[in-house]
Amino acid sequence: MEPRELTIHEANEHLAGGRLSATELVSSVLDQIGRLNQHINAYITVRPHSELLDEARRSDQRRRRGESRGPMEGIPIALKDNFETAGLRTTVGSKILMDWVPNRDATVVNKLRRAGAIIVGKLNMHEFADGPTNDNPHFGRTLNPWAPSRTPGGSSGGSAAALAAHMCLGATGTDTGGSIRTPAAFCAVVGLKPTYGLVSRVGVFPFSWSLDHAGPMARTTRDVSMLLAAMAGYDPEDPVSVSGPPIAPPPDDADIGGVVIGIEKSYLTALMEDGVRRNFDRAVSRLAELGARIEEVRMPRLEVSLPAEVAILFPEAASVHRSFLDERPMDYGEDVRRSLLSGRLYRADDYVEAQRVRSVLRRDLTATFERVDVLATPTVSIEPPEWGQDTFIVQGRRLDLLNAFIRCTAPFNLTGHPALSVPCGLTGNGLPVGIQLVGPPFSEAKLLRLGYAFEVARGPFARPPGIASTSRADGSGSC
Amino acid sequence: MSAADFVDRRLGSSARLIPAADREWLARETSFIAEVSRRLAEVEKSPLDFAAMSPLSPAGPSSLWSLES
Repeated sequence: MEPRELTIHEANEHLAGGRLSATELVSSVLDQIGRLNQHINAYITVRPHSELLDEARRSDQRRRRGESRGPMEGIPIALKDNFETAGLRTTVGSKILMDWVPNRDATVVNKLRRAGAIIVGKLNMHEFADGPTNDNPHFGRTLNPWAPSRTPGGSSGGSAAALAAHMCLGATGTDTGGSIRTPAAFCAVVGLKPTYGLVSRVGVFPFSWSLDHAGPMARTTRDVSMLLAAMAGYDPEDPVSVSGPPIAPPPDDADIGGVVIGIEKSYLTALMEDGVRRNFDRAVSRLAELGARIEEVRMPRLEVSLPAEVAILFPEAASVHRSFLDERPMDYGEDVRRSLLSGRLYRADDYVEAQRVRSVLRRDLTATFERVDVLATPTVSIEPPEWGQDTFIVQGRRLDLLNAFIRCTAPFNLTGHPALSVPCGLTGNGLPVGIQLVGPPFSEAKLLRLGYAFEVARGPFARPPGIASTSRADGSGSC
Repeated sequence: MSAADFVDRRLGSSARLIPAADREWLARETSFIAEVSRRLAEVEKSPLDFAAMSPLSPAGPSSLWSLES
C-alpha cells in the first residue's frame, strides 16, 4: 500500500510510531497528483513541491523532538479554492478572482496549519460555489474518478474527486444546499455539513450568508471527526459562530443499540432511482441489524423547502455579487451569470416569506427530533449523471437539476441541522450511493458514531477503477 | 408590464452588458419564480421571527436550542 492510500487516522499512527515520515507521505501524494491531476483536474493550484517538502521535513523534526502539534501533524490536506490562503491565490473557481492573492488565511486554514496539517493546494469547484456539477468554464471540469463521463457533483467536486483519487488525505468543503454532501456521495467519500455556526466561515468567500456552512471531507467518518476537531471552534469574527461540545473520534466499539432512526416518508425518501433505493434500503437494514430501531415519520411541509431555499439563496447571492454583476457580468460563466442575475428577480416579500417558511421547517424538525434521534435519507436521489444531463425522470416524475441533486440536502441548510453523508453502495452501473444521517443541533459526535458503526459493518468500500485496491473503514490498515 | 420589461428594470446596469439570450432566459425564469412565490404563500406561517432569520441567533444559541451531543 502506498502512504497516500492511508486514512488520516492510520497515517497519524504510522507517523507517531516512526514507521512513516511526513516527507514520504507528502511525496506520495505529490506523485499521485503528478500522475492523475492532468486527467481528473481536481486541483487548481498545487503549492511548489520544494515548499511542501520543506514543510514536511519541519513536521518530521517536530515529531522527532516530541513537539507534535497533534493528530493532524504532517497530514496532507487540500482546500476548496474558496478558502482564503495568505500568499497563495484563491480563485473561488472564477475568472473574476483568478489572480486574487489574499493577505490572510481563513480561520479554518489557520486552525489546520496550527494543528500541523500540510496544505497541499487549492481544489477546483463550481464557479463561486454556484452550481452542483463542477462544470467550470475557467478551469475545466473536474471529472468523477469513478466515471469520467459523469459529474463528481459540486460545488466541492474537486475536494471529493481528490480524496477518491488519493491526491490528499483530507479536504475542506463548503455547503449551501448540498455542496459537501452531494459530491461526497457521488465520489464515495465522507462529507459532513456541521451545525450552522460550528465551523467559522471567516475568510471563506460567501455564496449565501444565511445558508453557507464550511465542513470537513475525508475517506472515513473517523477522519472526518479528526478534521472537524481541528476546524471547529468559536470565532468572534463570524457573527453566527458558536462553541459546540468537544469532538472526539468515534470509539472502536461504537455501539448504536437503541438509537431511533427516523425514515421520513412524505418527501425525503419518496423519490429515488431504483439503484439508489436498493442501496439505501440495504443500508437502513444494516443499521437495524446493528441494533437501531427504525421508525417512520412524516414532514409533508418539507415539499416547500426547495422553494424556500432558492428564494433565500439567489437574492443573497445577488447581493454578494452586486458590484461584479453591475460592472463585469460577462466575466462569469453563462450558467452562473444567469443564476446570480435571477436573484434580482425575486420580490422582497418572497424573501421574507421564505424566511418565515424556514422557521416552520425548523419547528417541524425540532418536533421530529423529540421522537427520533437521527433521520436517515439518501444523500442524493439519483446516481451521478452524465455531463450535460439536466432533467431526470424518477419514479415517473420529472425533476430538474437542482431538485434531483439537492432535494434531500438543502432542507438542512435552511434549518442548520448537522448532516453526514457516508458511502453505502454502488448502483448497477458501478456508481456510488451515499446515505445521509441528520441529527439535532450539535449532534455531530452521534452522527459520526453511527456512521462509523455503519462503515465497520459495511466493510471495506470499493475504490474507483484504476485508483487502488481496497479501503479500510476500521483503521486497521498498515503500510 | 411584460416579463422582458420587468427583467430589464430589475437588472439595472447589467441589462445593457449581457446578451439578449440571457435576458430571454431570465424572462422565462420569471415563471419559475412566480411558482416559487405561489408555493411559499400556501404554507401556514407565523410572523417573521427576526431572531431566527439565520438558523442560530447571533444573540446566542440558547435562545433557540440547547446544546446536546
